[in-house]
Amino acid sequence: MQITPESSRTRSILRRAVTASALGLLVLGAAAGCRPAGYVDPGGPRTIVTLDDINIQDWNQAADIMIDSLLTSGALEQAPEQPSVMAVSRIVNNTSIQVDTNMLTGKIRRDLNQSGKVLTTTTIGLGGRVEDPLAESEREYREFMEDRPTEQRRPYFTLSGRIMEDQVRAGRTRQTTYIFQLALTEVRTGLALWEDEVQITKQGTRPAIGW
Amino acid sequence: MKHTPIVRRGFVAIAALSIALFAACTTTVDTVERAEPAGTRQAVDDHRITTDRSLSRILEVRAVNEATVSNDLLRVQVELRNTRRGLRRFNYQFEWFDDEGMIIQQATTPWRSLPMEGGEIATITGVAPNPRVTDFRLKLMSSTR
Repeated sequence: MQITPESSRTRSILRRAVTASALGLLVLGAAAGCRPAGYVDPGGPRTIVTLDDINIQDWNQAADIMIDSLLTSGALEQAPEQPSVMAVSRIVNNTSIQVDTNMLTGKIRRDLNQSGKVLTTTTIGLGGRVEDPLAESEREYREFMEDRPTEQRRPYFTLSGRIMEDQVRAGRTRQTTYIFQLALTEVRTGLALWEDEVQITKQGTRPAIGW
Repeated sequence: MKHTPIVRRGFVAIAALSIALFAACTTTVDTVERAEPAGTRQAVDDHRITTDRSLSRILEVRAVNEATVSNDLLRVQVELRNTRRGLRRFNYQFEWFDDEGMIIQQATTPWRSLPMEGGEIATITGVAPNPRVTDFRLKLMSSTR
């Protein structure tokens, strides 16, 4: 084959392009592989996003949306005594992963408590399981010593819910939706005065840093 | 520099592919609304601090208004528009202040993600965490990816 100056120049340009691309990839690979550990804001947009888990930002966003919805619904103002007392009932986990539902209810309880609209109880729990056993035993001790029942406020509202998931795939791309459902029930009537649902959908082929 | 026919054809092919990809990625949202809005909005005069000029060109803040919910909680609503022709992802966060200008620290005031299609108008809202809140600040940023 005859080598003309034209084809020699083409080869030279291609060779330079390939070398530059390889170098670029090498630098990018090195930068990605050498990421030292550091702190990130757990409520910020630089946290890791995965498809198989409910990440910290998912819990935060679901809780935040639920709190906004509950506060704007006006349901909490329907209690005759303000602030009303609320206890957390069962949150059913219907996902394929093991989760601590307190990641959701803990934030909601805390923020509602700080809003001044609701008081939460730590001595009344589902199936008699109390969150603060010391407070409960202290109350029983006082009742025994003073020989009269203490004035314990009973919950006017209970919070219950369900967490579900939906997974689909198209080729290599996967999509996971986590569905958070909550209901606020008025104990006296058994009616749900507020209900809402938050859906968080994530799509991709692999985990990513930041969103 | 003079390019050979092979290199020139390569450039043309890349350009054509880019145009085709760009055309495939642009989906915009058309909007229909009442000519004279029925609701009366309590508009807020806003002050903007722009550090990312490209973001302010892409994301237009159309209106900021406020209301009171649950008797004494401040609720803020901001209307945004993606001025570009394709999907863009943004993040936002509300911060809350009391009447002395002190920030109200909260466990859950996370950044929220906001994917917006091209030309889409979206409304974001925030509810103050307690009745002591009298003021707010909205932070906006492009997706970190």
